[in-house]
Amino acid sequence: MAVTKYEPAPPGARPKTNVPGAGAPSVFNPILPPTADTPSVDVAADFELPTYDWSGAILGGGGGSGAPASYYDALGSARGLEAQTASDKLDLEIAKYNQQQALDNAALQRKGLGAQEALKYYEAQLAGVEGGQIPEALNTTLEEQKAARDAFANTTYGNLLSRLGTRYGEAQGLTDEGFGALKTYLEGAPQNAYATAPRATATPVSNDIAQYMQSQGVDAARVQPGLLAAQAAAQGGAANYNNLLTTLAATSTQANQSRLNEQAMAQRLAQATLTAQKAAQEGALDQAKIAQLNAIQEQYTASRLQLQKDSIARENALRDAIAELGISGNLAIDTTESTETPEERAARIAAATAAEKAAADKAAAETAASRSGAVNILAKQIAAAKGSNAPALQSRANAFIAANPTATPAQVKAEFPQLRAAAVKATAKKK
Amino acid sequence: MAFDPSIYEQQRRNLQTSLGQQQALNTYRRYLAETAGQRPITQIQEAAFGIQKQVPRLTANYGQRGLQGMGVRSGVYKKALGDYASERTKQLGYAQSDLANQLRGYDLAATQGQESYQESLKDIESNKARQIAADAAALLELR
Repeated sequence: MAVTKYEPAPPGARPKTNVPGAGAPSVFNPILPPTADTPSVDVAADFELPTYDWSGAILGGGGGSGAPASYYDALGSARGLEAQTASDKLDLEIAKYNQQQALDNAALQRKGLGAQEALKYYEAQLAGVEGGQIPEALNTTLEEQKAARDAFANTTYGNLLSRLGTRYGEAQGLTDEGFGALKTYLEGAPQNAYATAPRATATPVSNDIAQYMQSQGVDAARVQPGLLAAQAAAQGGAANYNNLLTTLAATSTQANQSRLNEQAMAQRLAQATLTAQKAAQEGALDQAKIAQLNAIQEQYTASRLQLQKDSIARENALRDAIAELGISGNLAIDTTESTETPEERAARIAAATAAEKAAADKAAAETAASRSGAVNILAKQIAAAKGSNAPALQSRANAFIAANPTATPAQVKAEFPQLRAAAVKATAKKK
Repeated sequence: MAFDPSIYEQQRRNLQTSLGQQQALNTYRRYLAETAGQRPITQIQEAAFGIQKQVPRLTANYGQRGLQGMGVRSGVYKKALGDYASERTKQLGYAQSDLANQLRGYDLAATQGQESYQESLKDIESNKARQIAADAAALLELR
């Protein structure tokens, strides 16, 4: 917070009597003829009162020729009181200034300390995000989530694979059991209808009238042609039948062996089918697992990328904030804690106040001394001017004073003829 | 899918029923054939000395002609009796062979029925094993 330091004492200001330059006009209040309520000087309104020779009384510098004694007494008394009041006001203002300065210093120090704390905070934050690194907590959470999801995918895959293996074992068991039972049946069941069928035997043919022929004196051998023909027919039929059975039995045996081969082939085919199905389902599981792990990895990578982006943005923001701290100059504020005691501080402020007061009074006295009395009075009167035209009048007077610091009363009067009337009017009001 | 072994038991029972019917019918036909086939054999056997009295008539015929009788055994008579006996034996043997062959046909049919029954039973068992394998594969596919 800026504090407007009091301006240097204007020309004509009077320092305290105990310091160099004592007796000079006050810095803050113009020296006016003693009045109870410090009346204002309306120069414009009093412009038409040309009665009193003001220059001879005040500005002549000749020791009071022509001026009423009561006026000088009043003026001298008023000047003394006014000087004392101005000095007290100066003390107060200096004290207020020093107090404000102390407050400002404290505020500034707090600002500096705040900037330093902010810098520490920013740097600490920066350490966690520098180089696009992901904050530890987020990184840990991300890694844990990925590990958990990976583990879930792997566990699920393992469970499904194990279940598939179990189901495959069951299917294989069913298949083997079915074909095993078939094989047992084929090997044990009868396939012997032709093999065990009764073989044919040739019906014996005999000559049942042989005894009669012998009794008639006929040789029985005469029946031989017919007997042979009958026997040939009987034997031929039986032999053909038996040959047929033998052939059919052999065919049946081959058919049974064919069935056993068929069973073995069907069993191998069924096993191969199951194995192929198992492999296909394992492949599907592998694909699903890979897809799942890939999706997890992609999400993990995307999350890391986003976090790194956030980290970089945060880093940039922190670096911007640190740069702004440096630019603000608050980091350069001396925040060294004061070791002086309140008494030392009060003494320091008092000494500084006295020195400043002395310097101000000295400057005012030097200014007053460098001017003529008429110019000093002009400066005093102008400083007290009020009204809407006061700024213009003050500007004009200040320019005149700067150009003519040692102007004579006549010169002042010539430039500002209304001042005399104002002085007279003011004096009259005091009386 | 949905393995249901009861259907194979049903098929097995049907097979047994069919086998029983086929064997019964075959046995009956065999009986009829045997009966019918035995008839000409019996006729031939009885024709020699039965009602037809072919042998006595032949002997009597040659006796009337003086070619056969007490102390007479002509060569013509001997040849005729020998030819008759030979022919009769041949016809009788043929008839017996015919009957035996016909009966073997029925026996073969019975054997074939038995063989077919055994084959069909094995077909059922093979189909059952295949169905079990197919169902096992389908079950695995469902996992």
